[in-house]
Amino acid sequence: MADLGTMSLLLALALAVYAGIGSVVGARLGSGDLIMSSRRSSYMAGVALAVAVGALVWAFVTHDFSIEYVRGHSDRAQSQAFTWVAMYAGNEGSLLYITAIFTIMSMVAIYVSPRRLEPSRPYIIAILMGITVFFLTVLVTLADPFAPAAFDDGRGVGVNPLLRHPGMFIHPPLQMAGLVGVAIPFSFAAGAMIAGQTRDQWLDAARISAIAVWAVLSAGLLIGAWWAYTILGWGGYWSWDPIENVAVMPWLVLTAFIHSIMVQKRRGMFRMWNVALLSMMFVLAQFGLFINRGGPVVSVHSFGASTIGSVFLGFMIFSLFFALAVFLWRAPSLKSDRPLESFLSREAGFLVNNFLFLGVTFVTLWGVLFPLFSEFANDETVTVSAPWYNQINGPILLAIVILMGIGPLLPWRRTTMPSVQRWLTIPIAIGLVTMALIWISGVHEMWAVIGFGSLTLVMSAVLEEWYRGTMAQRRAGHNFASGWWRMVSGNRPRHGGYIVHIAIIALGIGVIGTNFFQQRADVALAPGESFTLDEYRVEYVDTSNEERVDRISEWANVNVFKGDEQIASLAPWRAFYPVFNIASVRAAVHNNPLVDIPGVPHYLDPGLEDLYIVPSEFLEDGRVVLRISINPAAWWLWVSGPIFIIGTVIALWPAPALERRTVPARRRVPSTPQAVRSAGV
Amino acid sequence: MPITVGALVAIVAIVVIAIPFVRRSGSTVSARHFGELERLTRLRTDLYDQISHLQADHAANTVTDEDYQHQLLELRVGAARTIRLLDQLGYEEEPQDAPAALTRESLEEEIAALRAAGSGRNTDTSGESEPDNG
Repeated sequence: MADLGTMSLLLALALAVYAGIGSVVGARLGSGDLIMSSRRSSYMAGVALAVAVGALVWAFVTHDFSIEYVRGHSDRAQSQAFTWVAMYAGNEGSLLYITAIFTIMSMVAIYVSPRRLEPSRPYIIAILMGITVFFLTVLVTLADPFAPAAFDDGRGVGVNPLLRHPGMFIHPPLQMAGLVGVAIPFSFAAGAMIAGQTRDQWLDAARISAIAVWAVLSAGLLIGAWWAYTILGWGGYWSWDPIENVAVMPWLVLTAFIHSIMVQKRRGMFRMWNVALLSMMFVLAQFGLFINRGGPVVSVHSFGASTIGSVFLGFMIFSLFFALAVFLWRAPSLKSDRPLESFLSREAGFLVNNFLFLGVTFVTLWGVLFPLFSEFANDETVTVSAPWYNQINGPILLAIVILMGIGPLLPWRRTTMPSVQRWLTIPIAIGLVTMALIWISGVHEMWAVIGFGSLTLVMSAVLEEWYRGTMAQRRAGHNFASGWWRMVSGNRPRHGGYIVHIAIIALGIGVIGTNFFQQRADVALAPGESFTLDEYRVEYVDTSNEERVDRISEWANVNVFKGDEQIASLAPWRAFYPVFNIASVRAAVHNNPLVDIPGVPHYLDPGLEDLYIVPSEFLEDGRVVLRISINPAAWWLWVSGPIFIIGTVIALWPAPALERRTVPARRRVPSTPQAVRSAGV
Repeated sequence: MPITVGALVAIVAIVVIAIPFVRRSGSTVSARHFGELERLTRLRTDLYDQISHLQADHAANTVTDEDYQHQLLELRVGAARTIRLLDQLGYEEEPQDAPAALTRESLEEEIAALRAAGSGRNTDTSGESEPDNG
């Protein structure tokens, strides 16, 4: 299998080099045949990489310990299911995975790219294949996943215990695909810039690919948060760890881009800004790869310092100069069709939204870079931790949420203050009333109260917009449900976006609940003893043990009571892996529902709070140290995921024929002859 | 066996990338022409989309009459220009997705009528007709 893998890598490299060079030469010589041949070569590079991935997976499944990477990341004791995904558990294998997934995504992007991008396509191929060539060169020279093992002990080392979690099947593939995938919308824009297609020819391709990549990255981040919540044992899900930060920064810029591209599509504005955003996002993604692959920052996620880090740093610097050069070259021809007419307009709302997203991005970037600068300048190690990020990014994120409620209600172009008052009165009033009610109910955490009020504002703004649109459909004779659906399907990008906003509201509820109202206690209990936290009494019953070849596992069996009623029996566990000298825990989580819906599985009931129990340590005297926490509204974090997916699918779903989407106007507003003449027809 | 599979993949790759040279069917000029057609039909669909969305906004009372009128006119003019460019490129397919209120004939007839009415009034007042700059 090692031979097949190595052959496939070399073949993919040759094909990618040919595709990159051939497409540019073809464009310069005007040779359609050469361009087509190069395009096919890029497809075949994807096929060759798929074969390489298949070879590595097969080597894992068949325990081919003659390959060093397989020996180092699997053993015969681990579950067969994890053997299938162990290929991306280490640096070399995950680099092969990102190269393959990136090249396959590139294949799809090139294949479905619209015909109007024909002049740009050779340059798009060249950029995509240039990135592939870089990855492949690193794989072949510095990080060969098929390198032979120095010795074969017939056992293997095994996969890192922290990776033995269901999240391993989804989080790393999505996260890595999302991070490398941001190069695709960038390539569409940069290729079009190089070819001189500087108007809006690249817009749809970049927008659709950006939304798709955004969805993948969002899902990856959310599943990563769930993974951290259940396995890392600290009761949280987001710690502003450097690797989390470098993954979230391109996501933030991508989110800004997805909003501002609508202004370009609708009003022909912000072209230069959008190209700048894509460039920034691309460079930040390269920065993420640098930090992740042997960069100087230590994290639970990173692969540790290595020589590859400096290579990725070099590529990031090259990417920065390339993106900057393309941008500066074409900036003069990227002017907007029209100026911003008013700051009371949706365009202005999107612009402010973009500045806020970039604000969070640069604060986060500074938090990642500051320890490096500090170490370089003062030889002093400094850690920037979660409270710093929360303190600075928290208010900016709150401003984004508030704008999320106000922005969609502002019309395009301009509006007047009376109109703004008319559209915003109800949502703002509902937001303020919510804040007052929460305050009166005894919750005096100011930021939490403002946060809940802002989320209510957003929800009521979405509902108001939907109500108006549905009522307009009802005037055309549709009932409420079909009217709502016709409204949504009439403008899927917008209403899909609103559904994503609802997902953000769910996420926001979870973030506020867990950050401001979490209760936590660390207690040592002997069998039969119990501990009461708020309304819950946790009784430690006994311990179960299991010894396997690779680990020693211990379960703490506990009963949970609320009042006198036993509501759950839980068994959080802790396992020690001697080979790695690592302990891994698995939290037991009991969702206490807000509403108990009959016939619905418990974990699907809308959650009020999680009772979260982790066994930190099993003491020799028979006691167990339990970390018990109550995480209010944590359920809402995870439910936001499916809502995200529904919203994104609706936003990306192709529009139906227009005649079925039209709605009757309130009254006909005639066009005037003078206006037609002045428009120059 | 693995080496055979690798060699097979290499041979398939060479055949696949060589096919365009064997067929020699590429013509970048026609590709560019069709690319422009596709760009314009896409632009036309976008403009129809935007008109439809604007109508929905107006019906939902989230756009003032004045803005609605202004934006609708802007979009209709854009659609008319796009249709004219499509005509110049010899595009004959009637769009399947035009809103009922915006078929090519109805749009062009309406603009022609408006231009005629406007020109007439202009001639009355200044004695000169508007230049045809559309």
